[in-house]
Amino acid sequence: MPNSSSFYQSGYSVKPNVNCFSEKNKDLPVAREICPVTVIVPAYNEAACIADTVNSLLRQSLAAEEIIIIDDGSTDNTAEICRSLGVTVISPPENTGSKAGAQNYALTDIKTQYTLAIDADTTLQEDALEKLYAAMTEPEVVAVCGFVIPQHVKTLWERGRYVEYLMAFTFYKEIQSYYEKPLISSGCFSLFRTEYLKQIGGWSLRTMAEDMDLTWTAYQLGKKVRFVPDAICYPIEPHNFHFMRKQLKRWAHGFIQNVKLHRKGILHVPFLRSIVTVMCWDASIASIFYLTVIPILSVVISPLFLLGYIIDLPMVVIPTLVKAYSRGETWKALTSIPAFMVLRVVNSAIFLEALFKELILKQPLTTYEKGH
Amino acid sequence: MNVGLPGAGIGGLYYLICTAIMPFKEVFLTVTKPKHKFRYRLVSIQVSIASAIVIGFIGMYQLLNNLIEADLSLQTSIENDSFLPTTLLPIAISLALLILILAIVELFALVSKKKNTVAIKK
Repeated sequence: MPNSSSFYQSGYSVKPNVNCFSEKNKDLPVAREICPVTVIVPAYNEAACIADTVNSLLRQSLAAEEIIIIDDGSTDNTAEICRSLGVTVISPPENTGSKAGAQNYALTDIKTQYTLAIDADTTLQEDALEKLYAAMTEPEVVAVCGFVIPQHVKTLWERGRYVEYLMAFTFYKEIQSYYEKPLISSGCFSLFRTEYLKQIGGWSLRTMAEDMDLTWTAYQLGKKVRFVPDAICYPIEPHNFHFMRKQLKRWAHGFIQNVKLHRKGILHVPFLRSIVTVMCWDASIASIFYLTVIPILSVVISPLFLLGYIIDLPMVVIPTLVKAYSRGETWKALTSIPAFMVLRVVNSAIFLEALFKELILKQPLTTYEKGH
Repeated sequence: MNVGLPGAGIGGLYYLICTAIMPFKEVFLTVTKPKHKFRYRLVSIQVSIASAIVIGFIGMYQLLNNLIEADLSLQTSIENDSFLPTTLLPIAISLALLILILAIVELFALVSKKKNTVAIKK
């Protein structure tokens, strides 16, 4: 993986950035380099957090050619805030109804070689773009994603999500990456080859998890996806049950919809077919076992069966603490682990509900609802 | 994005096995591909995490067994304790199940014809 100093030698198109600083951003570093990347940020009523997102983009060690905010019919002052920060704001004629719709609206006009898609509530570590960009080493690599850590870790749900991300990105995603099949190039922060996005018609609206759809499509086309653990982004996660339920519901339905859509295609993608199968089993059969069989056995036979709820603690605790320790957040992670156990129960219940609706009732989720 | 039960089930076992294979795969790649560099850092970190998880499971198993032995009233309340989470039987069953599921998927992949199913319809 080339570092920033080797960009020129490795043939990357990087040139000095002379025009990217607005009067309102005088505190930005003055000797940044610019890369052929357009950043697109779909936004709907994001006035509370969009300034942080834009500022983190403007402070990147490697600057993007253009930052475009797609103001998707906001009724607050999202657009005004963005304009005041000196970035481009575009608005579809009417609300597109989904993140994918807003992203596609911007995609048609993108001329740069790469497109960075990030959520309006997501801030980036200063070198995040630089690190993603450096991973675009081969023409077959069409998407690169980074490490995700919640921006706020206060409520039960944010804490649960914090542990979930530390565990999954430290252990599962690294292994998926080693076998060259990261399950998803995260929708909240990924760098794409623009040509690939246009080739497949942009972000698809056919499932509730367009990032998973995009990733699995890439594998079936023989393309590659990379995961860069050092490129860190910080999204705002659902802070209460109401919003967490919405997000988990969207993820669960999105996963099932993608399995239904791609089941024949991914059968011919080694490793991906295994992780998807194992995930299907754990999310459905193991969830039923977890939510019904264990409680029944504990009542009917012995309360000792309740140990089944904590027997896998090492699988959760160890990867979480490894990452948390390196970030100096050991105590925060340790105290958040009970929240993860709660989130996991809710997650499995929502997945079973989604499974029932998608497969038995034939009621697919089609309406995109924001997670916060 | 994780659905269902991240951390639990046969998924964890699957990832542990994948990690155990990593050093051997690296050696194979290093020997067979002259340009390949052994990814010491990645492999050593993941193998260390996986090893710590296995040690953690053994410790957990011992701890729970000791707790159960100490609580005789609980222990005598069941006749057949071989299916309890603190015995090795559930792990053996999970492993057998994982192998069976993966074998079925591989078999399906082998017999099914490859079709172009990625046509984009928005």
